[in-house]
Amino acid sequence: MKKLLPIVLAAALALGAFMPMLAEATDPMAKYAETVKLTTAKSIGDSLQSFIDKKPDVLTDNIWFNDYRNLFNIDVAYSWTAPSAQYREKMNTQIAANDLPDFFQVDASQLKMLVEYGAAADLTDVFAKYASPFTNEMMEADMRVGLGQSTFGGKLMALPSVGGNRDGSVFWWIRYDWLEKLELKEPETFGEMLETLYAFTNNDPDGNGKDDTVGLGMVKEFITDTFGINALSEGLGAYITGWVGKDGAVEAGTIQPEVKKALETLAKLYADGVLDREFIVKDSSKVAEEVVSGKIGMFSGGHAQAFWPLQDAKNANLDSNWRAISIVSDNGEKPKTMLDGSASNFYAVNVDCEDPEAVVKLYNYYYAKDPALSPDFDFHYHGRLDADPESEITEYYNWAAIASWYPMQNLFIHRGVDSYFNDGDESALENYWIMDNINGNQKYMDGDTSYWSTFGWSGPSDYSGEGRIDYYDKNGMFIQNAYIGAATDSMTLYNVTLEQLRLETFTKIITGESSIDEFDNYIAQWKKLGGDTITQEVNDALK
Amino acid sequence: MAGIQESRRKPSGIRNTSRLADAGIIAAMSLAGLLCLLPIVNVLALSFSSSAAAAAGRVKLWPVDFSLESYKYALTKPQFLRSFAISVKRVGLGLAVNMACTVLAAYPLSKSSRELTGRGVYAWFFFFTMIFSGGLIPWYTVVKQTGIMNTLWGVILPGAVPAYHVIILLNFFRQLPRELGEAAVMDGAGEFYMMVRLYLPLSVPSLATLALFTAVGHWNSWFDGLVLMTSPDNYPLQTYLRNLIVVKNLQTMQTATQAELREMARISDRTLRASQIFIAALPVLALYPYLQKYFMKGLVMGSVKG
Repeated sequence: MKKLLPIVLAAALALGAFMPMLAEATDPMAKYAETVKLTTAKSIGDSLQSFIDKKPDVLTDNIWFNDYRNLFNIDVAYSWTAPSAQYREKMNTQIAANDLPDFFQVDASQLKMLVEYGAAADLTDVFAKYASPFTNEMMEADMRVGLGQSTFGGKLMALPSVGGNRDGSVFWWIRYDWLEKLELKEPETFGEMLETLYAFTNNDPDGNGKDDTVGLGMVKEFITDTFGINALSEGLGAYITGWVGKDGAVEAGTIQPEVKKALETLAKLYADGVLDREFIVKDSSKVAEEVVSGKIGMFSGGHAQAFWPLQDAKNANLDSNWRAISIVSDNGEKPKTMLDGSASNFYAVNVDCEDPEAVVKLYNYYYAKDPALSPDFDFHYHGRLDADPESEITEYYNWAAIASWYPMQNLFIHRGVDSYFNDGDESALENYWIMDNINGNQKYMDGDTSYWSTFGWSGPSDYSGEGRIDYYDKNGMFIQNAYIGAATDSMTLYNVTLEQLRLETFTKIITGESSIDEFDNYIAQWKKLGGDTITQEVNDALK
Repeated sequence: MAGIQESRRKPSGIRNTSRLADAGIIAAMSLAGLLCLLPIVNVLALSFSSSAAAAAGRVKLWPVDFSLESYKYALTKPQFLRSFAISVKRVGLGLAVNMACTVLAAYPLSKSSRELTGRGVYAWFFFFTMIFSGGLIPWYTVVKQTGIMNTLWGVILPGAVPAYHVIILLNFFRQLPRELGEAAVMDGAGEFYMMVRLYLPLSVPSLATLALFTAVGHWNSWFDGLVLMTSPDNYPLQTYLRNLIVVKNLQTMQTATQAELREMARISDRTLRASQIFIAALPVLALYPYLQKYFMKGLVMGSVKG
């Protein structure tokens, strides 16, 4: 007995010491005994600002912040706020002055800067220990792409604000009413697409007897999805801004032979006046204006264009019928759109913050309450459907200090809307998000054209923005960009020059100032001016 | 000045230029002037048009589907009004501080080094800041450490003494007849009395010009407001306006959430933007005609040593 006692005591002691740790490990959402104070910053959008006008203290007195205090004993305060349009600029000065709150939202290049300065805390262990099971589930649904984007040298340096990479899909927006008027069928091959573009230019699709339409609208900085050349080039398998696997290594998309083919086509379209001959002086708002005024028949874009500028286009002309159609290939194979990273914003934690795990708790809490899939989902945290946004406060999710989304959220909404309208699936109404969109779609179908954007976005067919993405998803039309990590050192050094070279060369080729042979010269130049070094770095990073 | 008047008095019979050339020059200058006016007229026309016409780009120089909606909305928008009030306050306060400091620095510096020992050192001290500035980060840190972040003083005090203005004004003071000052001294006037009762009334053109520069400068500056204010509630007008004209970022648009997209659809309203820009430009537009008569005189007289 005498011999046993110390052992028992020691065991009890050890257990006692171990117990709290065990409890903490199993409950990442435990309440702090003492109040933890955190500071952060916020980007204020227009609607959030209108709520602040109605209730000045709404930023820190709301359903989310009250729960932070009551459930976790975490007191979050804002060091500063800035309008969304200027947040990035303001954050840049704050980073330069090294005057940063405990945690804050940054974009990819700012995050890289923070990591290099050593200003961001390493969250690897904290996240492993405190991320809730549902948060981990969401990361899996994202195929851990967002986490990968936040990882530097094997260390997790930020929490990704996951948006979902499928939403980066590019497709064509087309004036379907013009197509029908000219008695053409929806283009399914590259050749048919070209025919459609020519018809939109030459056959007076708006029927006003004037030669005032062009097939394809484009901006002066055209290597983009929106109003760019990507819908055309990705159809041909040219991924100008991406990285493609080739012979066991990764190569830059911009120097592939497919790009040459795309440029050749565009040069022809330009020469024939099918591509807007004035594109080199047009920015996005100018092109948007022409889309709205009915001068353009097709443009490259993504799901967001349903809201801008196509709602304006509907307002301006009720007869206009814009639809999203798939990109098309020229070789009978299935065209594929390239997917990038899933997060464009990240939550970095200040290296001086004493309670980084508290930030992970806030991250967990958003996932617990906002995604309608979550077992703890409660729509009160999201907003009120019956509220009049002009006079009442809603959109509560805007108030959370940290937000990250179910990566398939938009697709999920579309699928729900689709099954409600096409299969009569009433259960779709039980989901908060889907119900919101069903209501909007119903209003449009009942004749309220101000809801066209909802219809064009989540509407129950393949022709809405998310409907097209759903079609891509079901038909395996995605290809993942082979490199989505942060900019490498030589990218930071050379990308400005290389992008300049690319835009200049491509513009010259399209406008006919240089012949298509200039492309071979471009490849040599690109390699010499840093391209080879970048390719080497990217391949090393992927090993 | 004297030189210019003399050249005017030359016999006018010798003309090197023909009337045709004159007409050409006048036409070209008028055209250039009109070109400057066009964007303003366009913004004005946009602000009075219906938003559908504006979004379709149908508005050029005359309103299409005349409407006052955008003005009604702008003038009831709390943030716009608040920022407007802050800017007015900033101009008032900034004008008082800047002008007081300019005068108080320029007057002693306009004296000769006989009257003010070490004048050269002082002058260089001011001049130095015109060539070398501390830069963004030290400026930010000083404002933060002195505890005037997020206040109007933060945007006013760091630039309280505009060295360029001091130099213009001191040159103006210098070319006033020295005898005037001497006479005043004989009558028993002190330096302060002399400055207030003699030099300032004689410098009205120069002061008016500098006041205009200062007021417009305060009214138009936006960057300091963005960096030093910790909440949009405290933004001066131009900082607020800049939100409206920032070009949409096409790269990040596709990863926006539905709510953000809805917001985007809402703020694409060009007429509202135009009306707010126009209201903001109004005070300055209204100020110029009244101060213009001093403008040329003040600027030239201060900068050319008599």
